[in-house]
Amino acid sequence: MGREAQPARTTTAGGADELRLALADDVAFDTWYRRMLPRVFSYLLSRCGNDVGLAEELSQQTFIAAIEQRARYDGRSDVSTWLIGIARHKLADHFRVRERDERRRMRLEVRQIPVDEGAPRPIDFDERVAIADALRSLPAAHRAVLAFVVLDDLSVAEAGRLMGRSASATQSLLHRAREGFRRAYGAPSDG
Amino acid sequence: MADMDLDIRVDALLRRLDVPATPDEHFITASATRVAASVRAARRQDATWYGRLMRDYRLAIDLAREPATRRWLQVAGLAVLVALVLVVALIVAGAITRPRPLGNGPIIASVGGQLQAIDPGTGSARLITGQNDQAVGVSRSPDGRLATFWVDGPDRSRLYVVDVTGGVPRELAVGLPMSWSHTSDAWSPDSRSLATSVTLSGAQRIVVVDTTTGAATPLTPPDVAAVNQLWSPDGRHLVFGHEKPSGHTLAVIGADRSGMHDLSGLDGLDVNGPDTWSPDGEWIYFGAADMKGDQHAYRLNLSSGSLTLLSRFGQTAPAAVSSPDGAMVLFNVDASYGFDLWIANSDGTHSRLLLPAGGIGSWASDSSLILVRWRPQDRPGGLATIRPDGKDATILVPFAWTCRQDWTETCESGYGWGVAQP
Repeated sequence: MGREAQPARTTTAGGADELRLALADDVAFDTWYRRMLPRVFSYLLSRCGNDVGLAEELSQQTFIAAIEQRARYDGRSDVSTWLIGIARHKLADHFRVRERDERRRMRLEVRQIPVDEGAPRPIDFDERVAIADALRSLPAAHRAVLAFVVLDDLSVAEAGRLMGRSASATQSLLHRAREGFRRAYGAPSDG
Repeated sequence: MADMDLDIRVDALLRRLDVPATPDEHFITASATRVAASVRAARRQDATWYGRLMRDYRLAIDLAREPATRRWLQVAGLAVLVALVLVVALIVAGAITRPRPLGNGPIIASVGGQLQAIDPGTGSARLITGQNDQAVGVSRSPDGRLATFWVDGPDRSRLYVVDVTGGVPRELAVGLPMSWSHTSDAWSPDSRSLATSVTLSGAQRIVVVDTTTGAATPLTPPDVAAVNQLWSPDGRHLVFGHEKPSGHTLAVIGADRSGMHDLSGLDGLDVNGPDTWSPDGEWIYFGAADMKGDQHAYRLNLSSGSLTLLSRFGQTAPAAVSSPDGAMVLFNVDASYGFDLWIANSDGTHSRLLLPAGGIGSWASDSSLILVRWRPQDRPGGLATIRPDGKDATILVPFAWTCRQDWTETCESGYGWGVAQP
């Protein structure tokens, strides 16, 4: 998982109690939700290429899924780690759907990949915006593998399982995704 | 190497995205409202066992459908599910095809001389055969499939067997010049043979009849006036009563006619029985008159010869019937209007009145019900069932005034329920 978005560990032993108390009444839930939402949202926002609307939608889906799966939470990790795990699956689902859509579209049109490596940077260039733009311009499968392997620090095999691919196919996909990002962002030759 | 450097740089760039972010306040409020609705639904679901069951069921299904779940795990889960379904199906099929419990089998009774199968649960009766309206001395096999009955003729008695589901009765011991003694017949535990007391060539003898072949074999010698036979639980011996100069006593004989001997421990008693043999084979239950002529219910231990008085002093109790599970015993106590039915632990302790005006009972083979001729003073009686705790007294064959003289008030002339009866 990415360093900055790694949630601070709170209580582990009392995780199950924390969740139970949070769901016990509306006031407690509101407090808990407002505490947890930024962590989940931050995690998703970066992996969605700063697509705020998508991060919000997936955040909400994450919490609803967490409530549906409340019986599965055993309290061995803290609640925020558990929530991030659910968010990761939501992200994988999203990328899978997008990938299917892209495959359908690919049959209808030739994809235009902007390659302007030599173009000068704008004066008000915001590096994070450019990184996010480059990430968003990539095919869904490329975004997924970069999110899971680079940002989440999952092994290639773990990322492959999450995406429904073999380890070797995921390794190959990761290679193409890095190359695609480099082209989209502009070759980071000098850091 | 250069590629690796480039990869490291790409990764470093991407990680710059990973910074804390604050969601829009409007989104926080709106989404909190939507998610809170799910929380309230979850609370309602957790409040009931059905809700919790459905919650866990959905979780299991979702888990199996997740793409991250390995293929072999899905296949294994499916295989386990199929195996479980098969096991459940086999259990259900086994339950359907399993023979009905003996205790709940039909009571076979001769009512108005016609053989009927009576459901002890509902009291509904089904005619087995109306071919002969002279059926008496009914016995039902322990497995509930066959019934035997007698028809007395001017020269001899005829013994018949019939399937309880109906059909034409088949005569047994054809041509044997025997006269039935009008005591209860006893089926062997394997439901193959019937032991009956008859007068054969002028001698009171016990005859064993093979209900499949119809062949009859005298069991006791002609010089022993044998009556009231019972099979041992293992079917290897029979106990019976016979007369001696000092009074009636009990004797045991092998089913192969070997080893006949009187039982010890009965000195001074004039025995009415035997009435039942305990399921562990250890005890014989019977009624007997002591030297003063007082009738009491007893049980005799076959190993030690020790005798246990079951009825209380002062009670006149001429018969005792042990329950098929060996836990309880029924006995009659003389009353001014006839008999009361009493029940006690098998050793005679904790005896209590079970049914006023109840005759001696016969147990269902699962010990759950007692069949009794009930003659209450304040209402019409009949052949009735009652539970051992005194509940659910139900008349199956009602009392009738128009019966033939030699029948009981219920117009019933014998019944069988697959269990020994006095």
